[in-house]
Amino acid sequence: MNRELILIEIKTLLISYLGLPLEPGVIADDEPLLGNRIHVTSLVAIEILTALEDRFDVQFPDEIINLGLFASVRRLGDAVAALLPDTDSPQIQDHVRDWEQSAE
Amino acid sequence: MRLPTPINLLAAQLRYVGRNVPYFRESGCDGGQPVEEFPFTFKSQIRNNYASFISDEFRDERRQLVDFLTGENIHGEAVGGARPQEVFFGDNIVVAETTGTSGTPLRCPKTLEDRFRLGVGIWRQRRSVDSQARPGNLSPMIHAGLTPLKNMWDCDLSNLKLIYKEIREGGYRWLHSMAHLLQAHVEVFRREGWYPELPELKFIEFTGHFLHRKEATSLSGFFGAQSVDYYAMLETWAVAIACRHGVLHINEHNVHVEIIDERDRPVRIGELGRIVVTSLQERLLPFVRYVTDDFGMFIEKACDCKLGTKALALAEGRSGNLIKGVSRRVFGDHFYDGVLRGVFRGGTCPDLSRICIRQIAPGDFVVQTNAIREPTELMTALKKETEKLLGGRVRFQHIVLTDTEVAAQERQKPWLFRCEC
Repeated sequence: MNRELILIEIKTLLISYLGLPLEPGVIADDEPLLGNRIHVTSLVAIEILTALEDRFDVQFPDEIINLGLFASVRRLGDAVAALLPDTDSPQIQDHVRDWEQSAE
Repeated sequence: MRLPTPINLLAAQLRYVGRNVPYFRESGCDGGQPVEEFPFTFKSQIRNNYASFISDEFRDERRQLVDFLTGENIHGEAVGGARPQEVFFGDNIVVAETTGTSGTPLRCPKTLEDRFRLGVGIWRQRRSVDSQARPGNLSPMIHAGLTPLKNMWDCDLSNLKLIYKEIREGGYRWLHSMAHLLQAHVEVFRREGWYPELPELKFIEFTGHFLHRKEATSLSGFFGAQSVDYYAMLETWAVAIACRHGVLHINEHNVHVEIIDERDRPVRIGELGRIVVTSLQERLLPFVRYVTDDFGMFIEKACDCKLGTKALALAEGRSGNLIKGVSRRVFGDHFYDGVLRGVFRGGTCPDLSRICIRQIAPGDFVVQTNAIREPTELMTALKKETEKLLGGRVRFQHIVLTDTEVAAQERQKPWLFRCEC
């Protein structure tokens, strides 16, 4: 699976669910999704997660589900890529919600 | 590429609260103890000491948050006669207030992160019922969240037409509502000969008081949809959702459920007890071994649904709905079966459309009804059937409600029967 396709899909979903007057090409991979220009609410985040699960036939494991996934387009794309067997992806550990570490 | 080792959500949550939530830390639960070694918690306890139950992770805002939670009125200005059900505290915390069916209010703060994780769990279950379910095609009807709620309780046909026009135009596939609200709407529709055309609607999720299966099917069938029972509370959100077989499956992403007997011991499968809930996804004010006013039992999961591995059945009634008698106690719904059926079998009161009975003291009841022609006959019949059921003499006081008072009471989540003694 081409990672670029994943990122384009994410950008397309953002445009659709947020009603953004933008083309996917003008949204940077590092664009913050919890910022001022693009702000994903928790309900929209759920919409996008479920749409990505449907689109790529994956399920995000509990361990990585947190709003930090929406830090940027790239971050979310990395999470999707990590769930696909034939994608070259970074370590998923960056996205692991670690209760114990954050509690200390 | 390596996926993380699946974590035990309960163990991780207990480690977190043991280290970060003052009440549990000071109770000695900071070393990774199993859930059975954590103390039970109660609504009144949390309400009277919010600070002890708010995580140290939020210590910077804890004091102001507690002031907010214990303040007089947290709701904002009404807009068009409607108030939002939830309000923001700062940018990251949303507070909702529950009176609950027991009538004791509690303010529940959650971070946006808490709400997101809980929401994911809820939608996973809904999508196991219906793969096309998503937030955009569910009409929350009774839960408007941070936006002002339309007046769903205004049963004037012109208002209902506007509401259902919005549902139709929204193309909603799911409706989330209380059964008795929809019953009130359907009563108007039938009387006025008007039918809301909702071709996209496929599921009605009932929350609050559940109807008997036959009634639920009939009600949802009016709209051409399938009924889905949704057991939830404002404290932890979804606890369980029913599959197509009507079995309540626990939402294991969001909660851990225990059921205890009168001696706080875990019950066996099939044994009735009080429901205790531990939230697995919240950090700001995590509910741990939270004793609810609900009763139920674990049941064997005989279906092949993927909604969850554990199933439960709710008892028909809540502790605040317990009628106390001389010889026995009964839940409100059993009271209904035993008393009102006896009354109506006798053909009493054909013009009775609304009734609310409160037991204000053992042996003393207040009955509120719509205006009826023969109130004495009704009171006599009620007294007779109640004395037969509860095994002792009782007194009934009758209050007649106007239409406006009936509507106002229905808005307050009225139980048909309520014990306040």
